[in-house]
Amino acid sequence: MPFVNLESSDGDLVKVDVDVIKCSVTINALIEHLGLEDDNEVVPLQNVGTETLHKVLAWAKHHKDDLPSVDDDEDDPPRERRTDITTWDANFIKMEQIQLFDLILAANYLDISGLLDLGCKIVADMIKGKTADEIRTMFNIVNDLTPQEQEQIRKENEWCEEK
Amino acid sequence: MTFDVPIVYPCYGNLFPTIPHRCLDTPFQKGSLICPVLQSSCHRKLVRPSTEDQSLIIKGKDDSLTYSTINMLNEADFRHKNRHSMNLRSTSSREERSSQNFDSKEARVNANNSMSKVFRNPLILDTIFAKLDLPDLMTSRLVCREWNDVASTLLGKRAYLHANKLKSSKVTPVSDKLTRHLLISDRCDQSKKKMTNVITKAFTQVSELTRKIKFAATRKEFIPTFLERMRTLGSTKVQRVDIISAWGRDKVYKFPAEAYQKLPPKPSLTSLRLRLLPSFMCTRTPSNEEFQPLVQILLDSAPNLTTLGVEASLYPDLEGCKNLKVLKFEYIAHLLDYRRKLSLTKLTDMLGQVKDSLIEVELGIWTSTGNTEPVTGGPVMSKLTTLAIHPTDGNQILNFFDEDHFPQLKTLRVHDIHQDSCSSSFLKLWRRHRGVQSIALSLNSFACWEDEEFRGKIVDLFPSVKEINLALKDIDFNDIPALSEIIEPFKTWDLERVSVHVDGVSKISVLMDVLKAMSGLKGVKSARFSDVDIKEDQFSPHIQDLILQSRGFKSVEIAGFMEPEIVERIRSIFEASGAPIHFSGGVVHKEISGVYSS
Repeated sequence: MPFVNLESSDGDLVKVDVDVIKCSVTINALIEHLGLEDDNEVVPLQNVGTETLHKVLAWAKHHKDDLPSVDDDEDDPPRERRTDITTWDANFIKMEQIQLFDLILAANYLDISGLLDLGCKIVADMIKGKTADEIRTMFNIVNDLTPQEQEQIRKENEWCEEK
Repeated sequence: MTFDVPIVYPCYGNLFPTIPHRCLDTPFQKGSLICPVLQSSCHRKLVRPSTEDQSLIIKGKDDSLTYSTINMLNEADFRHKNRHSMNLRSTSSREERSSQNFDSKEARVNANNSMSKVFRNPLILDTIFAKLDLPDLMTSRLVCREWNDVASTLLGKRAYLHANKLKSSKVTPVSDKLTRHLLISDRCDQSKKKMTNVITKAFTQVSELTRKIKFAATRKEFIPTFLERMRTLGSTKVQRVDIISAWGRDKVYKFPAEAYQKLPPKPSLTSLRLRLLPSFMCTRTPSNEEFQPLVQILLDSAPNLTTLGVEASLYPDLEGCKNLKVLKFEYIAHLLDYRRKLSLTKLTDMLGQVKDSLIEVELGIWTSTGNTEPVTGGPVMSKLTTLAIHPTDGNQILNFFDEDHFPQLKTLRVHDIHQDSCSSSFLKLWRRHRGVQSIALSLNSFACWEDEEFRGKIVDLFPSVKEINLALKDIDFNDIPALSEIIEPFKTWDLERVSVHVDGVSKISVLMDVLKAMSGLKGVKSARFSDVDIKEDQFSPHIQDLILQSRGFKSVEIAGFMEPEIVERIRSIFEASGAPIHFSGGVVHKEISGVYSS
């Protein structure tokens, strides 16, 4: 079975079954375009730390046999995506906030949509039901909107209606 | 070309090494080969929304521009298939240097850093926002400019801009992003003058980004005004127009001759939905003659039409629709008019006009009073892969439903709606079809299914089925045979996916019966029970059975009236067991059972 060596930003090498990491579009494309002739190839991932990389791989291993997801229709995103989190995923994603954000960044960087979805679902749950002020405080975001712009946004929101 | 000085091209959160646009023309440098892969993949989601644009410009924090092209991967061509060039160190060292610098100066905490990278990345934000409900999405627009940017695009896709609400005399221009879908309705504005104003105002909002216009009118006389605006609308990218109307009051109104004037061709218009019906209580049916020409001018204006939905009492002339791929056709006639108007020959003639382009068709004929003349044969639908039908006893087309007429058919959906229960008599019209791989049946009666021969025949008729979706609604579960008997013959199918949806179960035995029957089938199984109403004292003793029975299922959903205390208690048992049961209600205290079932 072919393997690939991933090098974390901390300089650690992790040998991974290609079958496991094929969920990463990024690495998949690399392998397809560059070919992997021997097991000593090293793919450096300068944006993924060792700890995060291991988490990514644990997730990838568990979801190795998942069916590929169907792409959404561009103009009709499903209103209520079936985002039921499996028990395994729910336990997996229980982690410190910093780890969660690192994991989301890694999932995005490696283009693993299932993992990105999972992480983003957790963040979305944090946002739900909060006011803009509460969200800014929670995530340390500076409000760069003028009062006029905010007023305009509020008005526009009123003019919008669920499909 | 080599970079002598370390250059960091600004991009979101320094996540992705970015190549300036001019470099795309030149083969990639050793050391930067990985960049296009990372880039094109990470821009995947942003690229998708604009179908026309092959390239995309993202405005950076500091007003610098980052370019990305869908075809970058191809353009880069990986001509330097040099193994050593996979090494990214030269690039990353530049990145590192700059970010280290940044870190030491700002002395940022790591956590904040990751968090701000996440929240400054429009692609990740888009994924997060996609999981929010509309009110939360709207709140997110108020957080900061960047969030507003991403959330507005998403809101535009998920909501309509309701033109009627733009009434105030001083309307500040609405963000283009929100004009993607426009809705005009006469729900609250009934006077002609007001509606003319609303329609006119709505059309001034049509922007480069507008893709869909939906017009809902309860009075016929607003339709000419709408069409007039459509006529004066210049070239747009509007892809879809819906005209939904149901009226009762203005029966005497007749369309003026100018309403039938031709519309200029709209090449971008690919989808039309026309619902032209009297309101439910209005006894007079709209006259065919009046609407036929209206439908025709709309069809004529859309040379590239691929999707058409018509719910009316007419058969549109589809002769010019050479690109039509999807047709949803519902012929709706009033009870008294039914026999006179309904013509199966007209139906098959209409299908004949698009027989070589149609891929998907959905047919529905309402108000079955029976006794329509059956017809024989029909066109060969050479490309059709999906046929959905709401059959009635009336639509007996003989010698039509077979491999010869539907050589490419893969998916068959048969729906009983309301009081009609004609799916079995429809299925009896079929001759063996070896291509059908997916069958969906919505049943509300088992009149025929009690017949063992009939049940066996279905499996025989469609021997290659890999997927079955069964929905049982409005069924009196006291009168039916064990569901397992109906499902029994399906065991001979080499199934990959099975889903069963049962509505309105009030006995634990029915629920268990469905699960038991399904567990004998091959494939990935999911079961859904909605509107469940079972007494707690009957449900509780079977919890362990349910857990056992649900093994081998992908999911079992049980939903119904929620009694928080019961839901919490039972849900925790299912969760602890690790069973794939999603429990959200349907079990009630003994005393109040039945109260909510209606």
